[in-house]
Amino acid sequence: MDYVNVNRLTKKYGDFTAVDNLSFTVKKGEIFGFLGPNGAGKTTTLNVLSTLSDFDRGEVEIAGFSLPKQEFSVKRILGLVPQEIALYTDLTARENVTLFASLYGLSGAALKSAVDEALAFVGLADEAKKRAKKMSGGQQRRLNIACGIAHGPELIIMDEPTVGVDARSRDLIMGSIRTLNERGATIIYTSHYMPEVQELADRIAIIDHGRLAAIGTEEELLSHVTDRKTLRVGVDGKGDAALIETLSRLPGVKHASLADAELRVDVDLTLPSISPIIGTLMERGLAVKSLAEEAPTLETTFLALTGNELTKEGA
Amino acid sequence: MFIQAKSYILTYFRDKSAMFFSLLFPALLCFVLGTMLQSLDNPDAPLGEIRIAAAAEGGGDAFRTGTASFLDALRDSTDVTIVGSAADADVDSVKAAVDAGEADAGLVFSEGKISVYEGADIVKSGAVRFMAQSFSRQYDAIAVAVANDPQRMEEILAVADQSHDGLTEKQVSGVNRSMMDFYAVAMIVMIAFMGNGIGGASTFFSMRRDGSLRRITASPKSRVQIFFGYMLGGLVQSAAQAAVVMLCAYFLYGASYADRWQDNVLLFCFFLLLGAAVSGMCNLFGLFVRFNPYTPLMAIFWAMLYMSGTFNKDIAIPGIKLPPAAAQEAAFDLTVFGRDEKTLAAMAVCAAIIAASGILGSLLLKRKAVVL
Ligand SMILES: Nc1ncnc2c1ncn2[C@@H]1O[C@H](COP(=O)(O)OP(=O)(O)OP(=O)(O)O)[C@@H](O)[C@H]1O
Ligand SMILES: [Mg+2]
Repeated sequence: MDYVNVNRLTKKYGDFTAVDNLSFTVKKGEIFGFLGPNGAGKTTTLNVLSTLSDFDRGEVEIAGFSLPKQEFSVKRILGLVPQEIALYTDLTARENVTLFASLYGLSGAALKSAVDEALAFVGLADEAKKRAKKMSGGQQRRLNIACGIAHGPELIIMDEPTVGVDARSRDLIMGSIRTLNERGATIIYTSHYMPEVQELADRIAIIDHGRLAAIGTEEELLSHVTDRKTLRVGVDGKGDAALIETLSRLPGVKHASLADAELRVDVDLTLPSISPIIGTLMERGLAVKSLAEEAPTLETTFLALTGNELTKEGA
Repeated sequence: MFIQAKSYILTYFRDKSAMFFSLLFPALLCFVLGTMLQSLDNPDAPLGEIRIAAAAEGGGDAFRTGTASFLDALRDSTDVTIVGSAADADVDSVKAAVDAGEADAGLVFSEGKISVYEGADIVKSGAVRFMAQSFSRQYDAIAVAVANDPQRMEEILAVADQSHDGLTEKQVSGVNRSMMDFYAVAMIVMIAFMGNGIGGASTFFSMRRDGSLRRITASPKSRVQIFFGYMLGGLVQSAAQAAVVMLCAYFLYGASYADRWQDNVLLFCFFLLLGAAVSGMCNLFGLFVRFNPYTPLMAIFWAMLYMSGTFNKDIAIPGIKLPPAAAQEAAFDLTVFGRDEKTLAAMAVCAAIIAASGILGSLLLKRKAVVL
């Protein structure tokens, strides 16, 4: 049986439908990744799962308990890491973790060891006495996680736990997510950072405009997109928005983007020739230095399914 | 519930501006005021001049003589003015004088009885009532003595004549009041509104803003526990505030508040409940509104305290008793006159407000949208 079962979930804010007929399941012991552009409805969905938000239609069942009726049974097994850092800024790291962990009935020696462990777990053992507001952004992110997991929850819901942190903190956080999972926790999390999701998640759901666009393992998602490939063109010289615009309008071109000295062009598999693309570049006086073809990645899949680029980290 | 209270208290004691405004500032104010008032060395000044309209009619010889000598004694006292002539006045003219504000209180001696008509200024009228009561008791004792031995009347009058200046307000109320007694009480009421009000209102607002409210509502704590937990925090805050001012004024300047220690305990409990009631209402307000409640509440509280005569007792809206004025009145009634009815009534109102805010707050938290 599925551990989390969301069936035709709909959540409206006034006339605006933030989550629209969304259905998915999460298996026990899984790391489940949620991908979607800004405003897709990820946080809204997680708010419903974490009992923070009502919903208008649909059924939500977690560990056999149905929401909202049995929400207190769900709250007991839940650990929440909200998207916005949620800490008492005037309190120290230790005090924060202690307060939030004690909400789950921990006390005495058990509480103390749980707090110590959670702080060590996110690499903040040495900062235990530091006030939250004096910490760096990455440290606050990690403390935010420690506060959500110290009580040893069975289901951990993390909303963008790595947004705005440096590479070192990100590695630490990803490592801890993996460890938590190995210890038996089921984890649902969202991220804007594609490689992270690719690396961590057992299964991924892509949502857009509150609707499910695709769900499955990475391979399953990739197989959704069988009609295109990506050309990577190394160029010498400056490209601009007008160039991207022109390229995008060429027949058979689905998407074009330029980063550093590499141009990425998604084209139809059936495209008979790439001459018009190369021709456009040469007209602009850009030298083509290299050319490679790439099978679809999660990024292209995402693009194909949502028509949107996934907002990059920190954006 | 205790966890919420603890988080509130911890946060409160860490917040430097909250500490400053609710503990250090009052303590400093206490110190400055106390030092200033000490140099004035005028313990009865807050009462000021008391104007009494009096009428004497009827009663036996002894009563008339006693009355006349009591009024003489009052007339000689520097702080008391007898309005008009007691011999020409009657009940109606006394009442009229009090109603018109020409006199702070009225005394009518008739048929061996003293009636007191109280005016708008409760402190002054209370003082007059005390004078009348103590006179009445003395007179009863004298009456018994004279009834047994009519000769003694002359002796008693002779003694009374010599000790005119014995009748001052100090003796009347039995306690040596200093201005600190008044200011300390007014200050605690003020802080109960400002400190608990602002603290209470910003609790849920700032927790919603910093997201800690999400964590708390996602936890298996019931909404009743959550709301009451923060009110409990407010109660502890008001205890700290009241204790600082009361002790500071007591140790540094000998403010004594009520005569009996039991009344002082009651006074302290009243301040606790007052603070918690303000906390509760403002918790509710902060949970209900989506904007930062700090500025509007600050304005409302200042205006309310100002109009309640907390800063200058001559300013008040006639006919309207604002909550701080009612609270101060209840506290003064206990400290100055040793009467606890108003204090107990005010405590009951506070308890009702606490219960009502708790229930409404818990219900409001059930609407999940308020959390996010
Ligand atoms: N309280 C609210 N009232 C009205 N609209 C809301 C509310 N919360 C969210 N929305 C809207 O619902 C949509 C989904 O928001 P949500 O926060 O779930 O997106 P998200 O996928 O988490 O986006 P992001 O990547 O930016 O975090 C957005 O269009 C947002 O504007
Ligand atoms: Mg979000």
